[in-house]
Order: sequence, then C-alpha cells, then structure tokens
Amino acid sequence: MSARYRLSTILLNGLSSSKLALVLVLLLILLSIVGAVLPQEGAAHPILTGALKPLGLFHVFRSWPFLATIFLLGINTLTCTVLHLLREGGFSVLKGPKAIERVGFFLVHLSLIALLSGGLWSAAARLNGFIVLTEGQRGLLARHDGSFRLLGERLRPEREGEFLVFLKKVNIEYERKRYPIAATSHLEIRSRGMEGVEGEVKFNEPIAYNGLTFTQRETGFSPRLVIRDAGSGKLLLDSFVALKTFGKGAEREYRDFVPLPFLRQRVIITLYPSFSRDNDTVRKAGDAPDNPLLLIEMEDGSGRVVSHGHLPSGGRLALGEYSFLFAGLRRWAAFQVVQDPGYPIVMVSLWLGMGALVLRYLPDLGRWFREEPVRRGGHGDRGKATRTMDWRHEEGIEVTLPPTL
Amino acid sequence: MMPQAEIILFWVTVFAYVGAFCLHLFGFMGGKARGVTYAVWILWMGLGFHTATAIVRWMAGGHPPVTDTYELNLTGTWFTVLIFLAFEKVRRAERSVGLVVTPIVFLVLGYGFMSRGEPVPMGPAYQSPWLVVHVIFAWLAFGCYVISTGAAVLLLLKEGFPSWNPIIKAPESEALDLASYRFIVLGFINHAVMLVSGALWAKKLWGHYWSWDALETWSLVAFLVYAFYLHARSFLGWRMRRAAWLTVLGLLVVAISFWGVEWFSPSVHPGP
Ligand code: HEM
Repeated sequence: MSARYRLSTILLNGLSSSKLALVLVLLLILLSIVGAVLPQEGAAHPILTGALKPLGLFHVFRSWPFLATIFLLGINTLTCTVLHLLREGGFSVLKGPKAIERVGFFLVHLSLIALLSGGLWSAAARLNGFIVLTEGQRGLLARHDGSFRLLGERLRPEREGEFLVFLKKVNIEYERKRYPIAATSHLEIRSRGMEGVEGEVKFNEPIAYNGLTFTQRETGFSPRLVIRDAGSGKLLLDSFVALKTFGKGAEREYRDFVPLPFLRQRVIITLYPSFSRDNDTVRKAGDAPDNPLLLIEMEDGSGRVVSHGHLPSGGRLALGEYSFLFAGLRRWAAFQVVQDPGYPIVMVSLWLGMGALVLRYLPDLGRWFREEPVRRGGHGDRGKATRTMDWRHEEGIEVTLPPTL
Repeated sequence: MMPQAEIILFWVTVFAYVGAFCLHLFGFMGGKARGVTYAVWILWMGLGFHTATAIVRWMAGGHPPVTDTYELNLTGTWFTVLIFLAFEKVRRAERSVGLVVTPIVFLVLGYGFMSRGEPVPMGPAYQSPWLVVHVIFAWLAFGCYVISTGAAVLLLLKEGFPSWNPIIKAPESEALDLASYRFIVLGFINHAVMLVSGALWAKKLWGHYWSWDALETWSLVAFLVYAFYLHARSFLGWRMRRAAWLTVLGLLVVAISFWGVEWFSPSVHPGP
C-alpha cells in the first residue's frame, strides 16, 4: 500500500496545490501576452512570420504548452476545489453561516472546469469555413482537409455532409445614400435527403441548418468585367470580381487587383457606387449604387500607375493592350460556416460562471457598502474610519472566385 | 449647431473636472475638508455637463455613443465619475481616491477627443443588444478598477512617504487596501459580464464565441491578472503594498486592452 499510496498522495497534493494554481494562471497570462503581441496565423508579418513558424510561436493558442496549461489548470481547479470543500466538512458547509458564498465559490470553479472542457472540445472538434458567394451563385459546401470549403464542380449534394448553398440576393439599406445601416443576404441551403432552408441572414442574425451556423461576415460589390485582347478581340475574362472594401464611413473605398496572372500589367479596379465629376476630377458621391463608375488603373513593373480610364455601367474602354467592358454590378457576401459541438457546454458554463460569481460576493457586497455610516458634514479626509475589518478575504480560409459566366 | 453645442459642452465638462481636481488637490495638501467638499460639488456639476454632452452626441448620431474611441471614452468616463461619486456618498472617508480618479478621467476624455469624428449612423454590425450590455459592463469594470487603483496609489504613497504631511491625513492604509480590494471584486464581476456578453455577441456576429484576436486576448489577460490578485490575496495573504502594486499593474493591462491594442497588433474586433 505504502509506496503507491504515498505516490498518489504526493501527486494529488501537487496537482491540487494552490501554488500550482497561481503558477498556471501566471503561465496562462504570459502565453496569452505572447499570442497577443506576436502575429498569429491569419496575420502575416514580412520578417517575423518566417522566424516564428519553426518556434511554434506562430500559433500559440494551438501549441502544446498552451493546451497543456489549460488542461493542467482544469485538473488543478477540480482537485483543489473538491479537496477544499472536503476539508471544510463536505456538503455540510452548505448549511453553515457562509453557505451562499461557499456555493458561489464551488459553482465558480465548476463553471471554470466546464468552460475549459467545452473550450478544449471546441478546439478539437470544431469545423469551420469562410465562403464568398456572389448574388446568383451556387456552391457546393463540403468538408475538405478539416474545414468547410466551396467546391464548384458538382451542383447537387450527393454525399452525406455536403450542402448546396445558393445566394439569391443581397440587400443593403443606406442612410443618406452613404451609410449602410442594414445588410441582408437571402440564402438557400440544402443537403441530400433533407428538407432545405431558405431565409435571411443579417449581421448578428445567423441562420442554422443541420448543426451548422451560417454567419454573414462581410458584404461588398462585384462588378462584372469583360476583358478582351485589344488587338485580336480574343476573350480573356468574363467574370464578377469581388472587390474588397477599405476604410470606414465616408472614406470607404471598393477596390482590388484583377486576379489574372496572365495580364502583363497589374490592373487595379476601383468602384464608385455613385460619382460626381468636377472638371477632370471624379469623386465618389455616395455608397448606394445609383450611378456606378469603374476606375481602371494600370501599373508598370515598379507599381507606378501609367494609364487609367473611367468606365460607366455598360461602357467600354481600351487601355494598353486590353479592352474593358463594365457589364453589370452585383454584390457578394461572405459567410462563416461553423459546426461547433463544444459551444452549448461553453454557453452553459459562461452563464453559470456569471451567476456563481454574483452569488459568491452578493452577501459581501451588501455588507461592505453599508458597514460604515456616513457622517453628514463630516471631515472628509480627516474623518476617522470606524472599520470592521474583514481580512478574509480562424482556419481554412478560402476565397472562391465566382464562376465565369 | 449640434456639433458646436457638443464641443462646447465637452470642454466645459473637461474644465469642470480639471477644476475639481485642482480644488481637491489644494484641499488635500492644505488639510482643508471644505476644499474637498467643493471639489465634489464641481464634480457633480461636471457630471451634469458630461451627461448633456453624451445626450447631444446621442441625438446627433441617432444611437447611444458607443461606436468609436471618442464615444466610448465619453461614455466610459461618465460611468467612472458616477461610480466615484456614488462611492463618495457612501464612504466619505476614502474620498481622496478622487485625486487619482479625476486626472485619469480628464486624460481619457482628452485622448478620446483627439480622434473625434462627426457622428455617423450605427453600422449594421453594431446593431445588437449585446453591444450595449458589453460596453456598459466594460466601462463599469473600468470605473471600478480606476477607483481601486486610486486607493492603491494613495496606499503606496502613504506607505512610501509616511512622514509627508498631506498623506498623513489620508485614510489609513488598511482602509485603503480594503477599498481597493472591494472595487477589484466589483470590477471583476463586471469584467466577467463584459467577457461573457462579448463572447455571446461574437458568436452571433462572427460565428465564433472566441477567436483569440488581440483585443479579446488582452482583455482576458487583464481578467486573469485580477483572478491572480484574488487568489494571491487568499492563498498567499498578499495585501497592502504587494496587492497595491498588482492593482496598478492590473489597470495598466486594462488600459492596454482598451486603447493600446493597435500599438501591438492588428485586430478584427470592432471595439475601440
Ligand atoms: C481564471 C480562473 C479562476 C477564476 C476566475 C477564479 C475565481 C475565484 C473567485 C472569484 C474566488 C473567490 C475569491 C475569494 O474568496 O476571495 C476564488 C477563490 C478560490 N479559488 Fe479560484 N478562480 C480561478 C482559478 C482557480 C484555480 C485554478 C484554483 C485551484 C487551485 C482555484 C482555487 C480557489 C480556492 C481554493 C478559492 C477559495 C479561497 C477561499 O475560500 O478563501 N481557483 N476563485
């Protein structure tokens, strides 16, 4: 008995030690700061990224030291809390004078254990995807390399776990034709052998289907661009190009490169949803697409704009070796697709934790701020306090180009 | 018209707070309780102008002033002053923490004003009831932590310069330590509500309840620092000077999470 017993006692004492709790919280603080300060996965840094990747500091929050800390913290909290309660007399403390505080203390740590377990389960089992669709576009959503991706080839969900996603329309409402105040995507989602859903997705109002949530993350403009070789008239591109949105408020800009590697010069297109002309200067007049205009800019090898031209809707323009046609304007919407089995546990633990924290301190709060009567017209700083001291105390990012029409 | 009224009211507020601070300081240095009482009156007056500034901004934008750094600082300091004044009513003995609270308030207001833009309608991402809960509790937590730091700084002065005349008349260190601890507890509860409402909102807005972006992470770090404080108090008996230094460190981390994140790293968060 003795050697094994002693070993397990030492182990239990170590694992449940309050000092270990402090060390682990401190470690969690340090690792979090490292993760907050250094660029992590989504972000790219010209020098640091290359240097950090081999060190594992590029994904602190998925690294083994971090996960081990979380895991140990869970074990430590569990053992520490249970032993603490047992030492104080087990469930009998729930009847004692500080019963509310004890229950509060116990539930705070119970919720913490539940939160850590739910969080670890989320991290291990969550499936995630970022998809971009242009109005009128259908895509087949399927699991691929551990994340959800849009596969364009087949347009019917044939296998289990495949979804057909159809973005019918994106509506944006503006105030004073400038400030977007509402954005609504009309989505239809179907999977094999199941009834589909059709509904509206707005910011803050995701849609759920078959264990997946579709959250609208971003919307933008997709002008249809037709590019031909100016000399031969050969068709080079006929597609909707999803433009990125930069800036905020009145400074918002809609711009991107034409994503064609075979173009010899870099081409940047900027959309003015509506414009005003002042002599030779063209300006964006608003963000509602009442009177759209495309600015096409061509750069030379050093990134200097060497030629540019404006294209009203339906207009044509010859620039360098190419001719451009602005053949229509639609919108795109991006969605986060998430399947997260850990979320319900996390949610329950969060609510529980908040309630428990209040429970732990409720009796104290009442006492603290009542305890010392205010002496009207008192001496302020010179007033001598009559105290009763209480000394206790993002993966799988995929941007699909809309299909060539 | 509206922006002008707002700017005038804003500056009257700032001057009222600066005035209150000066009076408080003179009262404190000279041991005149009356000076301190007048300072508190002026602080109430300042809070009146502060409220008016926020209302004018709210009317001009058509939404509560909680969408950009200027608006957030305006609202946050409002809560801070309100909490301080409520505290001062209940526990007059420790009112000298105002000496630390007031300068933080007018510095935060001034810093916010540097990035002031014209009010704009609320973007669709912000149109969630969780935003209001999230922001209010963030600032309630901030207010409590500022007051706690106020008490901690006075404690450090008292312990560090025991024979400095004005500080002798400050409340006793034990009382300051208790006040500091209590406001950390209050701040900690509000901080928890802020983090939880933020997570619930993020789930609706981004699809993930937590994405380890820099702002979220810093905010969690601040929370963990205070969790460390509570446990160090409980397990190791850290009180007085040690606890006070930890309180000051906590506010620094909170300040980074509120205003300093972009200095360190880019963030997807729509916050300040
Ligand atoms: C970040 C995570 C944690 C949070 C938010 C948290 C929260 C709290 C709170 C609010 C209290 C009440 C403080 C007081 O009584 O003054 C407390 C006390 C306590 N915590 Fe934690 N805790 C955490 C982690 C841990 C861990 C890892 C352990 C494991 C050893 C632990 C063990 C205890 C114990 C034993 C007490 C009781 C102290 C007493 O009754 O005097 N806590 N905790």
